[in-house]
Amino acid sequence: MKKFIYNSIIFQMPILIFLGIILYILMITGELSNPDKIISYQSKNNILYGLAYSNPVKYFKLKNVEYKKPEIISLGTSRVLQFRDFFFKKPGLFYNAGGGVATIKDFNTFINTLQTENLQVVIIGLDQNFFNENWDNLKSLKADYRNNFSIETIVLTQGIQVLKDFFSRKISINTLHSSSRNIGLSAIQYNEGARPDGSDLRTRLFAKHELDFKDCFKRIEEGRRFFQYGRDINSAAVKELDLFLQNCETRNIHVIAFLPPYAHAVWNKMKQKKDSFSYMFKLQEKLEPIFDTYSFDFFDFSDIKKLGATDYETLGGFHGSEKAYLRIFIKMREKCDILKNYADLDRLNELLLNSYSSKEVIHEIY
Amino acid sequence: MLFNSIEFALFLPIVFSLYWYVVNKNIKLQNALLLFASYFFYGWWDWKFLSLIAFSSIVDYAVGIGLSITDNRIRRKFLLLTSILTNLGFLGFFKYFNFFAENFAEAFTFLGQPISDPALLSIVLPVGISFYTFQTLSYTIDVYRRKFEPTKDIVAFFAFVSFFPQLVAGPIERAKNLLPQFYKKRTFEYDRVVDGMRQILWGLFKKIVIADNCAIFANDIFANYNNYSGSTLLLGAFFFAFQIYGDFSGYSDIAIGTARLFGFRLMRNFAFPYFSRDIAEFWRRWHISLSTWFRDYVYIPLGGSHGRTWTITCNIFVIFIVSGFWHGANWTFIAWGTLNAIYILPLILINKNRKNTDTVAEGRWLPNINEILQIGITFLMTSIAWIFFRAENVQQALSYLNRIFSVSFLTLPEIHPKKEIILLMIFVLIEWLQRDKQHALQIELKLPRYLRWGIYYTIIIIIFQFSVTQQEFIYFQF
Repeated sequence: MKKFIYNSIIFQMPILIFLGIILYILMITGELSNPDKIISYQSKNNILYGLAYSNPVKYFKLKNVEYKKPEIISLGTSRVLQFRDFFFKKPGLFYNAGGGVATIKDFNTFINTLQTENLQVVIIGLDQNFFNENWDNLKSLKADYRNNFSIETIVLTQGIQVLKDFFSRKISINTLHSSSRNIGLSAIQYNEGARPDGSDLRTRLFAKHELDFKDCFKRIEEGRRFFQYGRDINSAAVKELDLFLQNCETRNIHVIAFLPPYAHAVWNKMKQKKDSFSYMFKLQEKLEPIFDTYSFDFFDFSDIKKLGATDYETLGGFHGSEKAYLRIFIKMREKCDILKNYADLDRLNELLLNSYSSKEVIHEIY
Repeated sequence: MLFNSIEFALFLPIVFSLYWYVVNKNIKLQNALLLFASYFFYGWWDWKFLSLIAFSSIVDYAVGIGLSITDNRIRRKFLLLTSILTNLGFLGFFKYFNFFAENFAEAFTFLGQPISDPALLSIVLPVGISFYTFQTLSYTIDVYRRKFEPTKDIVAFFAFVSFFPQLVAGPIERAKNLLPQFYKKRTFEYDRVVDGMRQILWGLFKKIVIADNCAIFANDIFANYNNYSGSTLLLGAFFFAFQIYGDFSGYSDIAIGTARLFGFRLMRNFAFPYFSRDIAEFWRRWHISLSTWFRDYVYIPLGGSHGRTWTITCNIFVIFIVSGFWHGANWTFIAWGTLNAIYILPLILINKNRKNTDTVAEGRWLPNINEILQIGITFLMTSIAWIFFRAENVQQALSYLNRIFSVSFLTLPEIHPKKEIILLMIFVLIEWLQRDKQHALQIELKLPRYLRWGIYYTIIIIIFQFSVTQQEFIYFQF
């Protein structure tokens, strides 16, 4: 018996030490907080929610919409995350559900799963690559909007990464002793994550002032990831969009859709390889009539220059900044009657004029 | 409580410490502790369903006592019937009510008497009900057959029915193997406890690394089978074959290892089944506790392999269809059972079903060509049968099979999970090298400690490195 106790202690010692470090870091930074608890906590306390080791964004955004019951939401990938609640007349009218969707199929799944009757308007970002015939976006599994939070999964899947980050000093000691009320390592250490209105704060990207599209250009040259080549529009994706629009019409939800902006330099680069990206240049022609049949609104903002913005108003090559999204929203407000009730055009123009920088409309630190 | 959860990681050392350091002197207290721990373990999932286990235990305990005091044949039959009806009644109600209601409605509709809204129950299937009802039934049947003396020790009996290591997913123990162990003094044996821990570690590896990683591909391919080529679908079936093996045999390893920590020896449930050379051997090596249960309590009483060809054929089909149906109230399981009956029937009829009773390539490092072919064909047949087991419905399984045997079978698979395939190859290699052992991590204690501990630490690191989203054990649903 003594031999067993002795050997057990010696054997388990390193495991327990490493597990202790992992658990301490994850717990102290709030990485092990159940998203269900964060939703009400974040609403009551003006804090950022930015996890580094798990990403329950789909569930988090869906439940926030149910909890906050906004009349307008923006829905899409990270390319809608820059719409802000202060664009609107009253706080609480709007919630940014960006990140709640990753494929064209997810729009329907999101709306079908959502349990709220308040929703009047959905602003959707239609990432151009959703419609690429070569983009695998219809094969993949349906989005999972369940709460898959599990401490075991986070510890087991991320434990080694946490140790690597800790011993390579990516996680600073200051972070672990920070008095910040933010939740999640990214939120505490970098002041990055989801704001209470659902929009995304990217402090490090906002602070970058030089233009750097090298990565995008490389991907365009290689036809990789979001810049995968494609000649034709995927008809199944268009059909899926049509189903979503039908679904919204049945639910009396008005849809305002847009093709989100690329930096002008990036857009030009794709234009130079027009044959490789030909699907992208057919999108407006194909999609606009579909929206017309439902009396919904559609905009093509693929080239940021169309908004009167420069490339400095982008984050990387294929995300517009908050200021660019204010421009987008002004264009929408000018054309869509339904937005009259929700936003004041003079105030929006004033915000644009007094923007803090090319990236931020209002500077915030959490 | 899941074996791969933090709750269990805290629960097990606490119970273990209390068992060996606090109540170690008194066998009755040890049994009481195990009973309490088992009810706590089960109640952690849903305490309300504890009443079902308790009720089954009371009925079977009383039936056992009743059988011991009467020789009257009618009374004995009545007592046995009480036990069978109670246990199968619960099982039927919770597991099969909706299935029968729906199918009766469909049958009436087919016959021109439509039932538009059959009365269905909105109930949760109590975890482990299929396992513990069979375990407790084995007790009353053996007592009825006078093969086993009934117990008067109510705590030992309740602990036997609810023994937490194997309560929710087996192995389905026989009373004559497990119950007597509750009467005997258990002493702490270092080698046994260490080997139990090794088996737990290997079970966790199988579940977290093999099953959960294979599940990602199996789930994707089965969910989108219409979009994939025949070769990819076959790969999907192979992934599911490894998923279910890693999942279920991993659970059994953890269960057997955990029981060993407390001084109990549970029956073996898996004996490297994918190295089987024919389907009969496969069924002697896969879910052994269930196969032998059906053999002893259904197949042999029906006449087994004796009698006319027609009788044997009927018996084979009955046992495999019932076994399939035990897994779930869905036609897919019945189809899976039927297919396995079709596979095994020729071997039994030509009396070749016991041809391969030894370990494959015994005393050799490698199998010969003939053995490789036999193993490959058996694995392929099993994987095809798993398609029915995994599919949502029979129609989907048939479409899946249809797509496998299409022209696209001749193309290369569309997914290339290199990392997972390498992992599977290493896993198969380790299991092959250890195939004559009780489990793949059974290591000689005479190996130097640094080597043994090095192996354990490596497995722990691999578990962390290859962990994906935590999945429930598949057999929890049965």
